[in-house]
Amino acid sequence: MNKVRLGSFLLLLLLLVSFFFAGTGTIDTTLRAASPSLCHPFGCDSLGRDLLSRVSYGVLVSLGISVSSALLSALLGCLLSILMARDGWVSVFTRTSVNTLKVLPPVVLALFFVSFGGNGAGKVILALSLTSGANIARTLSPKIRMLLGEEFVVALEATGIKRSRIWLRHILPMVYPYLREQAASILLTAILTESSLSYFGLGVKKMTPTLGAILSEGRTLVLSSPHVVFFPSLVLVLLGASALLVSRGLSELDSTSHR
Amino acid sequence: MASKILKRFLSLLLTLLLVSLFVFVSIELSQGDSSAVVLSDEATEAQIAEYRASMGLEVPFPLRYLQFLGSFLTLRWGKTLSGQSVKSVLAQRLPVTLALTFWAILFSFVFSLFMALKAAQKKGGKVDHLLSFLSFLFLVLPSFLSSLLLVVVFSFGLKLFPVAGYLPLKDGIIPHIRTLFLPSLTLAILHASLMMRLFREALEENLQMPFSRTALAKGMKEKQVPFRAALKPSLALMLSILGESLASGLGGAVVVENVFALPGIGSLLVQSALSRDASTAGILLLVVALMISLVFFLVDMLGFWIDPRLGRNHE
Repeated sequence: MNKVRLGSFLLLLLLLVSFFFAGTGTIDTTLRAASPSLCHPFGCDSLGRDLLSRVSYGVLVSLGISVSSALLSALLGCLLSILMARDGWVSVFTRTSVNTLKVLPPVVLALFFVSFGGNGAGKVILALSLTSGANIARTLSPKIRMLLGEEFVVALEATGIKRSRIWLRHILPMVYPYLREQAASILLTAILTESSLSYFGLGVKKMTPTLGAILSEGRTLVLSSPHVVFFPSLVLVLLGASALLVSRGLSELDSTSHR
Repeated sequence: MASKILKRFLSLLLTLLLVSLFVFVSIELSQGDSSAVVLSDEATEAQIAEYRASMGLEVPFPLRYLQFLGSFLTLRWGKTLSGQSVKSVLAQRLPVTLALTFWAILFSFVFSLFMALKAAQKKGGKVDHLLSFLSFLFLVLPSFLSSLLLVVVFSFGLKLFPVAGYLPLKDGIIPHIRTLFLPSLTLAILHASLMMRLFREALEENLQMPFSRTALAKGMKEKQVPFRAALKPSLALMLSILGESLASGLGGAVVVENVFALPGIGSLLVQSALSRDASTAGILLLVVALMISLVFFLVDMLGFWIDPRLGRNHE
């Protein structure tokens, strides 16, 4: 539990600090690649924009995309695993589609989406949710299948309770720990995928100060003014580490309470 | 056994069929027809009609899918927006990606296996902690950041390897390896992040088994148990981890190739995404899916061979 607490505390802290400082920064040519100072704690980038506000903006974008992909994939994962538990061709088709998504890495899928119609946060989220949603469905469906064979489900069905109610009140709560753990692990994947895509200018809309884009602009200055790369990388790694802490903590929690 | 292999092969075909359908439908839905992209705004109705006819856009939907599938299977992959043949570009670029992936997998496999075996010798020891720390750090580091770090240290600091670029094997083996070293190392970090921890877990599981205890009871030194008793039964699981890693690593290869300006299929994919070349990107997606499905298929087959328990029918 400590890991989960620490991770979520860090995530919340990052979120709050970022909310406070976020901005795109104004261009000030007198401050090109200025070193950190009281006014600009992270220094300034190659165009003299305040790095702290840009990095904060990047954190917000990153968190926004990762949290929405995690939620969306959890939803998609649930829907897919419900479909997979049905009989007949629906289940066969869903199963095949879910297995198919296994061979499409999210980065490649996102690039494919970007190749028509251009960049956008929506495309990154879509690619991530499709692949991760399928992942979730793959983990949940054997557990659901097992639960459906249990006597209490048969008993519930025999008493004439509606199918939807059995699903919502009995099955989903029992697979919720797995769902939670999987959804948390998507946070890190999403943070990394989004920043990598933005690094090539293929993530969210151009000119948005995302962590990947800031690092991509700053990499040419890595030798002359390392702080332009150092602070954004530090924040990115911190962000990823907090997300990983949450998901690791959750998975340890589940493995101890379930076995 | 044979029926399992056949079933697995059929599911491979079905997967690829579904990916191709997905690519086709996405392209169709998004761009509908490429005449707006290729022709200028001043194109007359007649010119548009002529273009549409020449691209085969007048044919009904299911038939067009069959055409698409047929042309993919017969390797008629069309041209990129810059007019090169996709097939020949791919033929040039695929070896680069394969070489990169090969070295990266080799590095990370040897490193992870070594670390996992060392760590398993003493649970909760120094190496075990180091392994947990490294796997945490490697997971959190995005590839473009670790590559930047490596470049600063090895290229700018020690001046051992070039910053970016690629020299093919025919320019000599030393220059070839020099250009591939840092990219492979970056990708290996990505692979090792998962492999280390999962290898360690696989070994741990088998160390709990009765046969490990028997080996210990029969007088095998405690330090030798992971290597001599637990490694062999873990191999099938390790192989499937390797397969998963290889598959997810292709996404990482896309990033690494672009950072180091390697002319592989990953950089081609980014180029086609940048130039909004959906048909080339679609072909590339299909090729990547084909490669990954083949990896999964081969891993399953090798698994049956290594661990005959997997091939038996449980039902």
